Amino acid sequence: MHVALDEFTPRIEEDMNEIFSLTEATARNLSGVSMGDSSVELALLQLRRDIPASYNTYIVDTNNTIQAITGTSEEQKPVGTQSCANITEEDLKSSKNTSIVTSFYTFNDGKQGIIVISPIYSSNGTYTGTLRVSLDTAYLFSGAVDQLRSDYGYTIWSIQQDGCLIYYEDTELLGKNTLNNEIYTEESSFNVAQLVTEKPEGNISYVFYNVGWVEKGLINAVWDTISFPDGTEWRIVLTDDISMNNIDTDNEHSSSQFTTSELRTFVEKAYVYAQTHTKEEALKAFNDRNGEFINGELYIFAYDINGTTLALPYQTQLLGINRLQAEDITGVKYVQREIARTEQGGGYVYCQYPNPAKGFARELKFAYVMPINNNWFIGAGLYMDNTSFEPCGDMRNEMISQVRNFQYLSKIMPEDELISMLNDTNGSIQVDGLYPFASTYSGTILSYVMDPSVIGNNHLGYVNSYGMSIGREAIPLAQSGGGLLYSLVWDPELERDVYVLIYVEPVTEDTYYGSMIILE
Amino acid sequence: MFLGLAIMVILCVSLFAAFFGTEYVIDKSLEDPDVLLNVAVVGDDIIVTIYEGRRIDELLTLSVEIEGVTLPHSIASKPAPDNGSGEVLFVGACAGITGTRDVAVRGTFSNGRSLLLKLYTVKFT
Repeated sequence: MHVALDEFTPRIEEDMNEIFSLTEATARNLSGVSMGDSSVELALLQLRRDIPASYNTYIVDTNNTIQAITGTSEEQKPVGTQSCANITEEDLKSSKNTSIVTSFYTFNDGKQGIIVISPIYSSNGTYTGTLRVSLDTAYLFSGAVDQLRSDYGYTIWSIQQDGCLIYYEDTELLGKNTLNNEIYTEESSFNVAQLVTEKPEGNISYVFYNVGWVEKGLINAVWDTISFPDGTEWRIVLTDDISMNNIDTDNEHSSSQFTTSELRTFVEKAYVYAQTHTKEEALKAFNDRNGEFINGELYIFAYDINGTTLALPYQTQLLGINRLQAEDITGVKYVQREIARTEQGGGYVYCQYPNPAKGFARELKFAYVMPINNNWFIGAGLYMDNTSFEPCGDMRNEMISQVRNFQYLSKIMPEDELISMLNDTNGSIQVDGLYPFASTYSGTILSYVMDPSVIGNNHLGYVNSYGMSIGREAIPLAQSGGGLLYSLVWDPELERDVYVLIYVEPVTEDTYYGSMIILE
Repeated sequence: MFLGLAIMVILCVSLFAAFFGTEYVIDKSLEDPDVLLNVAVVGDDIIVTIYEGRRIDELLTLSVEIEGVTLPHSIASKPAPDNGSGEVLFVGACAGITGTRDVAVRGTFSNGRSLLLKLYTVKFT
């Protein structure tokens, strides 16, 4: 375990040092630049492009008021409002004027993460404010964790010195304090958290829920510490609770016993029940582990339209918890994807989810969801046989940077020139293994490197073999600020549908850009 | 005359509710839907799936209406499934439609009456 930890920790350390370095360099370049100068927007876009784990990059003045931020007119709304983190010149001085990394925040838009902050000075050396990069810690860690899982079968959790959880695979727990949150009040887990916060390195065995939260088990852990220039420390705890040794390969449920058609029928039966009973009766039935809505690996889950858990029979501790920001190992916000699908009347959705039959290894889970009404929905899922993907964290980051680069380039060149660059499959803008595309919000394809023959077509009507329309899914995702989704798309070379990971971002008021990785 | 009739109806419903309890009234309406269905967008098409209901055998045609859109009759109206339940496909009903709009599904029954069966707000994009 120590060998795995020794390989993992430097990677996070290097990634964070790179983020500090990029932020400080941009802050220096912004010294003496007026907020109205067009170079400010470009500098913020470049920084966001270069840090794929960033939500946003923005500038805050000495009164803690946001002065500039990247994004569409909708995303510019925080300009003029107070930033959630009030960092003063004194705070920066006490950290020797280097970058500060903050504690964990829930931002105004519901996203959660940390902020890297660097001071900005005027040309005569007066402190004028700070450059800030809000970071998704799940993104920051997940690529390296994905690799760690693949290489060693281990996973990671990480806390700040105060016990605040900044990384865990179940992302809805991020931001919880391991020293006082009710989830960790059992003696065993509390003692672990206390020991880990007190000592910079060590090892321990303890009993806690394994990844997936279905049952408790003995977990072995080793930990080490990453220190940053401002004195902040993160404990990086490596655990074996997804050990490949736990996998029962003879388990009769290790491959799905159901078809996708049976999955749909199962959900439709629950739909009829929910429509012919009160909501309370339906949720009681769906949460009953001995009831009619459990069938082998199939069970009904339910959420309200804001992402609050209403039914989850094997993870009842999550009832009432809002999972809108929950991400899978790749960063796909799966509850948001399910909500988007139900808002179109329901259908199939994918995510990667811990499979109890495979030692809680992340596998592609195929869900079918249906709205009960405009306020809540139900669904069920099954693991796709033999469908697990190689770690793609690094490629995912390249994909995000590529799309954000299009966003940056759209500010410095006419859009038709940018589209021509995208459509040049041999051009310097292309990256091996990535398939960029661009589309209007009305669905007209402007660029599609995987199959240029469809350029000019409207893709709202294009559906894959499971009735999923990428256009109808990607447009609202881009309009809401962008993000990741899985889909199946037609590969003209292979002449079949292939699983892809897609990233989209809004680029202009009328267009969005994206890129995709083939996962198989 | 009409006002008197309306007051009578309200009084009857109130007395019924008071006698059996309002929950009974709600539960009965849940248990016995005329036609229980779901409406979903699949690319350019709208699929209405009929599951059950006490009047599905009387259902002759289904029609969809999309807020802000005038659909030709040939696209918007389809015969109900032969055996009552099943899928009804409205090909091209939402071609080119974007944004968030209300979608209504109406049914025409063998007695010639038309009823609103479902109203759902769909986020087309």
